[in-house]
Amino acid sequence: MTEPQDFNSLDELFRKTFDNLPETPAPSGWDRPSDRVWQHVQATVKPPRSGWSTKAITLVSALAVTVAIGLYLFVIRPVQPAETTTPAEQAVMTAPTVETPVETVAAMPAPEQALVQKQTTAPAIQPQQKQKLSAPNTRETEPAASQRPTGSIPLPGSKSAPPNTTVEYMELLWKTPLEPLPVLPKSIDRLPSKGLEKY
Amino acid sequence: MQQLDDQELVRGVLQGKPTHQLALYKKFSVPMFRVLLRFARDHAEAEDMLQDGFIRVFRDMVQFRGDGALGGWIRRIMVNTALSHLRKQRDFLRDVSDFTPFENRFHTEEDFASQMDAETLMKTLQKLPPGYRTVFNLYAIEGFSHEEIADQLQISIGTSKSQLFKAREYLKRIIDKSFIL
Repeated sequence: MTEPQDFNSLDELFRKTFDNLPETPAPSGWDRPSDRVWQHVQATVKPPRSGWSTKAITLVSALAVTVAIGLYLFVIRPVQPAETTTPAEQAVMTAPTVETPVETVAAMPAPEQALVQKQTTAPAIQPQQKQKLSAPNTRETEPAASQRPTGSIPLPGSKSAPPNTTVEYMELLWKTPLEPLPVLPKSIDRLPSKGLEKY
Repeated sequence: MQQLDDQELVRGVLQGKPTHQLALYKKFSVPMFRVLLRFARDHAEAEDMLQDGFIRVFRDMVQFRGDGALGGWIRRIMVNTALSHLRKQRDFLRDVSDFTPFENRFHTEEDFASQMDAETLMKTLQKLPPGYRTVFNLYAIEGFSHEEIADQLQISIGTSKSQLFKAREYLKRIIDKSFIL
């Protein structure tokens, strides 16, 4: 309670009265704010951030998108199928079929005749087969290629590679004895000795 | 919740902890509300000032460097908030010539001593015109100089002195009249 005689001036009366108030609010409630003040303050003060700044979120998102795109491109990239034919076979298959005349064949030695007959009797390669062998479609061959393990062991049920005809031909030629060299004509033996001597 | 010291409160508020925000509000709401009641014309206006003041406190807590007391820092924010509110009022510093103060009638000295408590003084102060009340508050209670008041309210030093003189006259009239009658 304030004593009037203690105040020397009006300013002091007010200052002392307001400075010496107890910590607890008055029972009448004149110096107590209503609850709505805190409710408004609480609603206005934003909740704390989760610790992730906008910059960090942007960086992480960009990294995630980059990784996702990279993975996608890696998965859908065209896979080179394991070669089923050798280049020599492809050359044979894609080479134009030349009709060998009968006379020429008859004039050939025996191994060559056999090879020519084999080529002529072999079934002609269908265009579809050619396409399949020469330019594999990635979309169609992708599952088979992806299922096939890397290596030369064929999967069960898969077609074996056709025999290498070039190798066979070479082996056949190697086994065949060489024919004697043709005898040079005698006219070649007569060299101009005079003219050569001076050299 | 146990009593937290100011440093813990500041740390918690900076971390955005609602418990610490509430604790800080509970600790300082009553004393700051008393400060604002002196600047406001009534309870409702003081509550508006308190709300804006605490929003500023939580928003600007990063700027509190801990050099002084947390209570003093919050009090400065509250006073500045009150002055911002008052500056928005049109003609709040107008000269009131026909102001007739209300009268408290105290028939004896005992009567005065028993009734002139803080609540009565507060109501007496709130009855003053806003300009008188603001300058008297800033000078007599907050301890501002006339230069500082002029700077804060963007008025001349002479205006500040004149507003203070008139505020004192009115207050004296109220109290003397009340006591003598």
